[in-house]
Amino acid sequence: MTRDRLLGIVSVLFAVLIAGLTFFTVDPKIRIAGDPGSQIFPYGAALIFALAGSRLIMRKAAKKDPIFLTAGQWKRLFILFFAFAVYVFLIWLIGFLTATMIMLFGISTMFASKKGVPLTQRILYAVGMTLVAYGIFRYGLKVMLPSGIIGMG
Amino acid sequence: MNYMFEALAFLCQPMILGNALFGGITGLVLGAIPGLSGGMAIMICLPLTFGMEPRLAIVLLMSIYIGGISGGYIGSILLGIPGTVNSLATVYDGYEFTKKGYPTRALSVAAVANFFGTVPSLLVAMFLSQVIARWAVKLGPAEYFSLAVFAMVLVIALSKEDMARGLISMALGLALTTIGISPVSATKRFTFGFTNLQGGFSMACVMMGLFGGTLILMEYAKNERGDGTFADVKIEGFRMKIKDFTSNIVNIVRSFFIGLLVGFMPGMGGTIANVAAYSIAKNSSKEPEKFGTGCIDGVWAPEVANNASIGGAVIPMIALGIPGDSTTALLLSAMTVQGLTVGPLLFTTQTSYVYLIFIAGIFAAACCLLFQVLGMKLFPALFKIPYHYLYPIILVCSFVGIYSSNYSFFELAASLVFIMAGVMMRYFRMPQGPFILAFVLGPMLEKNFRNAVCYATNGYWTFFTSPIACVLLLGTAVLLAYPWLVKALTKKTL
Repeated sequence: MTRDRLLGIVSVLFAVLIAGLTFFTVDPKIRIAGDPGSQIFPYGAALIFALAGSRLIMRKAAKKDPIFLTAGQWKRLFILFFAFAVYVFLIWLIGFLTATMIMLFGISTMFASKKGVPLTQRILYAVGMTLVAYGIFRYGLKVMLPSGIIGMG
Repeated sequence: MNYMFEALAFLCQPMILGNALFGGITGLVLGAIPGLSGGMAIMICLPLTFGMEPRLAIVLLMSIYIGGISGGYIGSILLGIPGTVNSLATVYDGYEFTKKGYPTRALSVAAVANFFGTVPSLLVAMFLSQVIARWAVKLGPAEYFSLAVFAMVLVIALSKEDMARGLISMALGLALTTIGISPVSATKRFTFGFTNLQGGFSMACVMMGLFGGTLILMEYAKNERGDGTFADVKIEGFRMKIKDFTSNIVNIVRSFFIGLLVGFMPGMGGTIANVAAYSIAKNSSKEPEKFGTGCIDGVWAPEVANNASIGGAVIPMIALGIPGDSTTALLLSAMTVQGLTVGPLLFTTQTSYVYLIFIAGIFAAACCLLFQVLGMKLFPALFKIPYHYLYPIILVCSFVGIYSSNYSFFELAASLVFIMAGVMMRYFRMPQGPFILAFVLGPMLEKNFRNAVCYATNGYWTFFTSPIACVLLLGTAVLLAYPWLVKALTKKTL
């Protein structure tokens, strides 16, 4: 199946989902005389999804899709995505300061793999940039950064 | 006039000037690095503006915007890869200078061309916006709704992407804006009992997830960046021959007007201005064969035009509150965060801000020129910034931006979903422009649509009894039908 056809199917499913959710969960009561109501825009979005999706399904597939990512590249993508998720969890758990140090070290190591960047340089980068970022956001721009539920800062 | 002097006085303060210089350089650097862009620069720096006084934030945002568009030529000339697509045609002749070993001439011309494109276009925009805003105040919700729909569909129709995919991207943006409390009647939609969803998703959460996070994921997955592979070239510092300027005056003026006009049209923007100005300069040259071999006319034309498009793009954003492309859409939403209601009423309710926006842009252009003149020798260093250090810090800025927009962990977690959604958008080749425009304009569209029907005595017919709304909606229908019409006509002719 081509990517366009798959997108068409996903779009039609989205249309059905949005229309269903709108029908069952959005209050249809009109509070102001003449107002088309709060359901009209979600239905409008669903209609666009359905029409454009149907067009993609019905259209003759012109050519074979180019490869988006190889299996190895998908694996790398999911590994980094997992690192992002861990970072978000760590911000919540131990706070911005410690979580950012760990994340900067981890992700710079992932990006620098096979480049032979010395360990000390990566540690210095992680600690230095975290302190600079913390200083700028916390004290320069008065942004309240999370200190984590176990309060490690 | 008083407002103009007020803005000038504000900008002359050393701290504000420093802010403009910082914004200009940041935009320039991020605009120069291929893969990043002016829009990305605005997104990354958005959290810096949250705690700022609005006027200060406007200066910073405008400087980043101007710097981001200006910086694209550095990559085009030194690497042969445009930093942003707005400098696509600059590669053709600009990179030839680098290949021959003397990029200084092209870099110097491009730096001045940027200034010549930006400043007059912002001055034109400052006066034209007032005229358009005076007319736009008379528009009702039906006309406004139709204008916004027309602009969005024009963006889809003019992009090289497939129309169906563009429409799906637009529908996704619209669907996301329906989450939370609806306008007009304040009904809860798709909140499923979560208080966090009542305000919908913030701009920072959606944009930084979909574009910032996705960019870093894709770069890591593809692993194509080679740090330090940039060949060293000698840059002697700013040097421009007067003859390079005097022999190109007609080319500069012509490219300026091309850029201004193209920038004004929704969906066209700097890229088309850049390429169109280059082609016209080549076609009207006495020596067109010299183009593509390192001809200085081929650097002036695209660089004046893409920066002149800034003024053109700012006119509908300020006067109508309708951005013409994704970068101005991001700029508009960043200004909205600062409490500015961009649109025709801005001229009567927040007049001082209007002049500040334009004059800050002019100051930013001057700051960028100053940096380019003094710091030209540093340009090669921009391409030696190791990506393994650059991307993690962009990620930190993105997550701080998401968190600090609402101080919500919920949005941090939600941004992970948007990051994956961004990957899927790339997988399905869905264009980003229609999504950004729909997400930014969605609430305004719905409010105007429902108000138009509420106020009307003839219900939905109001969109057809108002001549302006009717013409715009018919125009939208023609744009939507255009690909099928062309296909049908081609078949008939064959």
